[in-house]
Amino acid sequence: MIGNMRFIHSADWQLGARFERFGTKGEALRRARLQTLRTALQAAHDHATDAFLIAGDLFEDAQVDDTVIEAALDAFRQFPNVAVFILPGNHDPNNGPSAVWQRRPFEQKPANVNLLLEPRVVEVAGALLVASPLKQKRSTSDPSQKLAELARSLPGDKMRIGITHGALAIPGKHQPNDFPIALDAATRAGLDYLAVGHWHTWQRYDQNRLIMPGTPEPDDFGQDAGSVALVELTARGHPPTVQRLPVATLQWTELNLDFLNLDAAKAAMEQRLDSLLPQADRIVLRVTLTGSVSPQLFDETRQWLDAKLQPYLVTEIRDETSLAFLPAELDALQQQHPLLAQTLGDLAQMEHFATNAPLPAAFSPSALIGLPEAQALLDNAKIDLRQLDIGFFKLAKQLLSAKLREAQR
Amino acid sequence: MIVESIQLRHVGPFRGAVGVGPLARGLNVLAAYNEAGKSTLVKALVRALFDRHTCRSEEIALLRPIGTNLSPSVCVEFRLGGERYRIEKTFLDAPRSQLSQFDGGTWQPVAEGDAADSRLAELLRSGQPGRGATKPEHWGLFQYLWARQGEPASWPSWDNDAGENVRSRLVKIELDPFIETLKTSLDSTYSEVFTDTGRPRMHGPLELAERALATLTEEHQKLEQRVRELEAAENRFQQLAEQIETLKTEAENAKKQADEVAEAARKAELLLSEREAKQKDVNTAREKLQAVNDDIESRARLKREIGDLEGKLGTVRETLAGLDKEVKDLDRWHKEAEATAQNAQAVRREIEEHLDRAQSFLKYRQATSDLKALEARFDAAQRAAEELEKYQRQRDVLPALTESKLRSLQHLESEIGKLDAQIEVLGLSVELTPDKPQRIEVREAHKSRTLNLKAGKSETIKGGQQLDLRLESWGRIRVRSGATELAELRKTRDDKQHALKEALDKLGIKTVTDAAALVEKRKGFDEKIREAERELRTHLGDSDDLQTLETQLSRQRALVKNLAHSLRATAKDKEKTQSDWEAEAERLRVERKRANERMENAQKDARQLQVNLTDRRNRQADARTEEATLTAQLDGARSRVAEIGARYPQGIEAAKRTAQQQFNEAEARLAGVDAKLPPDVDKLPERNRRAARAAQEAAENLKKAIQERDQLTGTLQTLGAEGIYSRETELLMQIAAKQRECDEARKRGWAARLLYDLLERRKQEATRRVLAPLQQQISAMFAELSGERERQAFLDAELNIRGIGRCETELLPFEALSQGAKEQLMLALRLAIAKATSEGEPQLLILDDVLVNTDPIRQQRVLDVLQTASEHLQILVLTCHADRYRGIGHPCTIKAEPV
Repeated sequence: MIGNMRFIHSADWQLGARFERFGTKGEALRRARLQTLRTALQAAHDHATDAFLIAGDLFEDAQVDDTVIEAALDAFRQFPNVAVFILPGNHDPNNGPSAVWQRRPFEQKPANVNLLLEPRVVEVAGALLVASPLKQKRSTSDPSQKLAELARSLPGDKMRIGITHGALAIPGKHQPNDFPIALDAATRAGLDYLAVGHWHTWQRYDQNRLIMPGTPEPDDFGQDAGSVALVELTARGHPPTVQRLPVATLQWTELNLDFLNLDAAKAAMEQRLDSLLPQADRIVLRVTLTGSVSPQLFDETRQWLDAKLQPYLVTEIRDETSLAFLPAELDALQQQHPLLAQTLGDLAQMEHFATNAPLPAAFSPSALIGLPEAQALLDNAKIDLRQLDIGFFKLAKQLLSAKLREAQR
Repeated sequence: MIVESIQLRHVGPFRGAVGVGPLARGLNVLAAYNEAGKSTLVKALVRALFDRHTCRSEEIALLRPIGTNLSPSVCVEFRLGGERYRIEKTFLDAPRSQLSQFDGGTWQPVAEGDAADSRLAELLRSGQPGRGATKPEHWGLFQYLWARQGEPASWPSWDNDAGENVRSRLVKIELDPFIETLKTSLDSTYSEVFTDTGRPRMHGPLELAERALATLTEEHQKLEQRVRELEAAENRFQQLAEQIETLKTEAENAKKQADEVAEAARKAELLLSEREAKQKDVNTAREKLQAVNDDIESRARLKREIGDLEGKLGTVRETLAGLDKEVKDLDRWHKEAEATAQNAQAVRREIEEHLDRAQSFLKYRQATSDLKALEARFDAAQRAAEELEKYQRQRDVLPALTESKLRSLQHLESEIGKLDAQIEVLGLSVELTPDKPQRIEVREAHKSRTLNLKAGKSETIKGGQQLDLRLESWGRIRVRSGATELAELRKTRDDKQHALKEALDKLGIKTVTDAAALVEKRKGFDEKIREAERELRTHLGDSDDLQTLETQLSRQRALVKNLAHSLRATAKDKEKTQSDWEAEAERLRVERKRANERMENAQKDARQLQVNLTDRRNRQADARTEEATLTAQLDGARSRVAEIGARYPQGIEAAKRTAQQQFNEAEARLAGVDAKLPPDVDKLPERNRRAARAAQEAAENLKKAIQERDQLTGTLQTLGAEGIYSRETELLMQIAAKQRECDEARKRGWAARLLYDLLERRKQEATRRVLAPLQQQISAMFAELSGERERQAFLDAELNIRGIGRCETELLPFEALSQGAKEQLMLALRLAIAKATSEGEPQLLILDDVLVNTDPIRQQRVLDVLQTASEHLQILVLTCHADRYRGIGHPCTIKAEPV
C-alpha cells in the first residue's frame, strides 16, 4: 500500500451535443454542459483529487467544432493542478486520422491533460491507471479484457484503477455490438476500481468497484444523472469509497396536468410552477397533458399553460390527451345537427374497431356503423384500417371540431 | 302557376295569330291532328316564359314560320301566387318583352325589355344560361312537369336548385346547409392532400412531405454508405496499424535470414570453386595413369596380334602355292577342249551347206511346177473375160428398158383401154339395119369413114359426142350425145395415147408387147453375163482381176529364173530327181543333228573348264590380296610396339608407378576440400534465392501496407472533416420529423375523407328512410295506371327510378321495362312531383302525347288518374287521339285570332 488515492470519475459529457429537439433553446443546454464541466473541475480542485477521469465520450462526436474542443481545453487549463485523464469512448473513438483527438487544438493541449489513446498503464499518485480506450464506434468485444491483459504483468502491491467505456452486459439491456462489459470486469481484471462510461444513468456493480456515473449534465428527462463519482482508494484490495457529487447546472423537471379534474390540476400546476419560478432560468421543464378533453377546452387550457411556461429556460409540452365531446356538446349537436351527431358516433365506433378504445356511453353501438360497412367505406377511400391509431382519431375529432367552429362562424 | 291562355303570332305553322284558352284549372285536353301545332304551342310557351326576348339562338329561330322573316310573338297569361300576369314577347326582329299584371280590372305594365325578362325569371324561379337559349335545367320546376313528345321515359337531372327543391319537397328532408358546408370544407381539406383516386395530390402537403422524405431518405442512404466507408476505412486503418508492426518484424527477420543464407552460399561457392580445381587435378592424374595402363595393355595386345598375323600369313602362302598349280592345269585342259569344239563346229557347218543346196533344188522344182499351174489359170481366166465382154456388148445394144418401165407402159396401155371403154359407154352407138345395101359415110371429129352396110344385117356405129352419118341418096343424119364428160375422157385418152407413143418411140419399139419381149431378151443376156463372171472369178482366185493375175505370173517366172541361175546345177545335179533330192536332204539333216550334238558337248566341256579356271584365278587373287593385307598388318603392329616403347624412355612400368602415385596425391587433396563443404551444399543456391525473394516480398508487403495506411490517413482526414456522423444524426432527426409530417398530412387527409364519407353515409341513410313514402306513392299510382298491384316501384338515393318488382331483390330494372311501363312510371313520378310542389302553388303539368305506347285498357286507368290528379293540378294533355280523351276534362282547340 502506497497511500490513498482520490479521484473524480466522470463520463459522457458529450460536449457539443446538438439538442435539436429543443430548437434554438439547444444552445442553452450546450452552454450548461461546459458550465457543469467547470463545476466538476472545481470540485476536483476543492477535493484535492489526484486525478480527474473522463471515461469516454467527452465529445459528442469527432465533428464537433474546434471551439467546443478549445472551450473544453480552456476549462482544463483553468485548473492546472487537476490531472485530467481522458479516454476515448464510442462517441469520440480514437479511430485514426479522423478522430477528434487528432484535431489541431490538441496540439497545444494543457500539460495537465493526459490522453489515453492507446491501451497502456500510467502511474498516477502511486497507483496504476490501466486504460483500454475505444478505437471504433461499435464492437462486440469487451474492452475490459484488455485491462485484464495489461494488469497481469503489473506489480501486485500497487492499487489498480481501470478505465474503459462500454455497455454493461446486463441480459436484455444491451446491444451485442455495444462494447459489452462483464459485470464482474473489475474482479476479473484484479482491479481495485473500474471507471466505466457509456450509459447516462448512474450504475454500480461488482461490489461497488464498477461504477458508471452517468452524464454529469442530464440530457433528457427521467435520468438518474447530474453527478460525478468522487472515489477514494485506501489500499490495494480494499473496497473503494464512492460518493456521488452533484454537479449539474440545469434541473430537468417533469410535471403532469390531467384533464380529469382540470381545475384542481391547474391549481396544482400553478402552485408548482410558482415554486420553480426562481430557478426558471436553470430549469428544463416538460409538462405532460393527460386525460380526456374537448377540443375547445384543450385549446383554452393550452393557451393558459403556454403563458405560464414562458419564463422557463427550456420547456416541452407532451400531449397525451384524448379528445372527446362533452355530453352537453353532444346533446346540442344532436338537436341542431343530428346527422353530425350520428357521424361522431360512427367515428367513435370506428375508433373502437381500430384501437379497441371504449365506446363513449353517449353512443349506442346498435345505432352505429357496423364493421363490414366500416371496412368497405375505408377500402373505398383507400384508407388502411391498420394504420389508424388513437392519434388519428384524435386528429379526426380535432379536425371536425375545427371545421365545426369554422362553419359556425 | 296556372296558365290561362296562350296566343301566338308568326310562330311555326301559324303565319297569323292563333290562341288556346281560356284553359281550365284542372284537366285540359288539346286534341288536334299531327302537325297541327300542338307541340309548337308548348315550345312557344316555354320560350316566352324562360328565354330572353333578345335571344337569337337556333331554338328561337325555329319558332319563325319557314320561308318567312316574320318575327314570332307569344303572349301568355298566367296566374302565380294569387296574381294574374301577362308576358308578351317578340323575338328576332324588333324583339320586345313586356310583363303586365292584372290589377284593378286592367293590365298594368310591370316591366319591359330585360327587366321584364328578369322579373319573370324571379317569379318563376328559373335560371338563365350565359348565352344562347335556355335549357330544361333553367326552367325550374317546369323541367320536371313537361313530358315532351317523344321523350316520355327520359328524365332531367336532379342536380340543380329546382331538382334539389323538388327532391327535398318529395322526401320532406330539410337539407341541412350546415352539413353541406361541413362536407364541402372536409372535401376541400381532403382534396388538398389527396386526388380523387386516393393518391397524394401533386404539390399537396403529403406529396411534398413524401418527396422531401424520399430525398432525405436517399441522402441518408448515401450518408450511410459514407458511414460504412468511413467505418471500413477506420477498421482497415486499425488493421493496418497492427499489420504494419507484424510486417516490420517479418521483414527484418526475413532480411536477416536472407543475409545469413547468402553468406553461407558465398562460402560454399568458394569451396566449390576450389573443389573444382582439385577435381581437375585428379582427373588429369587419372588420365595420365590411365594412359600408361592403356599403353601397357596395348603393347601386350599388339604382341599377341603379331603372333596371330604371322600364323595367318603362313597359311595364306601355302594356299596360294596350291592355287597356282591348279590354274596352270586348268588352263591347258581348257584350250584342248576349245579346239575340239571348233572342229565339231566346222563339220557341222559343212553339213549345213550341203543341206541348203539340196533344199534349194527342191524349191526350184516346186517353183517351176507352180509356174505351170499359174499359166494355165491365166489362160482360162482370159477366155472367161472375153466371153463376158461379148455378152455385155450384146446386151448393151438393146434399148434400156427395165421391168418397172415396162410395167408403167403396160399400165398406160391398160388405162387407155379403160378410157376407150368408158368413151364407148358414154359415146354414141347407132345400130343400122338397112333393108337394102347401103353405103354410109361416118364422120366424127373431122374424121370420116365409109361403111357399106348389107341388107338385113345390123351394123353398130359407135361414136363420141356426135356422129355425122351421110346416107347415100337419103341425106345426112347428125346424132349428138348429151354426155359432157365424154370430151374429157377422150382428151385424157388421147393424152395417154400420145404419151405411150412417145415412150415407145424413145425405146425404138412399136408396141408394148415388143417392149415385153425386149425385157425378156435383156434378162437372158443378164443371166449369161453373170455366168461368165462366175467363171472368171474362179480362175482369178485370190487375184482381184486379170491384170493382177498376170502380174503374179510374171513374178513366178522371175523366181524360177533366179533360182536356176543361183543353183548352178551340175550335170549330176540335173540328173537327180525330186526324190533323190528329198532323200539327200533327209540324210543331211540326220548328219547335221549328230554334228550338232558333238559340237555342243565339246562346247559344254570347254565352258565348264573355263568356269573352273576362272574360279581358281579368283581364289588366287584373293589369296594374294590377303597375303598383302596380313603383311601390312604385321608391319603396322610391329611399328606400334616400337612406338610405345619409344614413349617411355625409363621404362613403361616405372612410368606407371609414377602416374599412380600422382593420382593418389590428387585424390587426397580433393577429399580434403570435400570435407570442408557444408551438408546440402547443392541446395544452398536455391535457399539463397528463396530467402532473398522472401525478404523482398516481406519488404514489399510492408511498403504496400504503409502506403495504404498513408492513403487511408488522408481518406480518414477527408471523411472526418465531412462531419458524417453529425450529419447522419441530423438527417435521422429530419427524416423522423418529415415522417411525422407525412403521417400528419396523410392522417389529416384521411380524417377529412372519413368524416366526409361518414357524413354522406348518414345523409343518404336519412334520405333512404324517407324515400319509402315516395316509393309507395309512385307505386300506388303505377298500380292505378297499370293495374299491377303486386309490383312496386323502387327509387335510388338520387330519386331515380331503379325499377319495379315484388321486392328489391326481384327488381326488374327500369331500362329493361317496356316503353309503356316506362311511360306510366314517369307519369307517376311527374304526378308525384306535381302534387308535391303544388301544395303552396298549383302547378301546370303538360303531357305532350306521352302515352302513345299505352294500351286502351290502361288508357282508361290513365284517364282515371289524371282526372283525380287534376283536382290539385292544372294538366294540359296534347294528343292527336281525340277519341281517347273524349268525355274527360276541358277540351281545347287552337283558334285563329283576329289579326
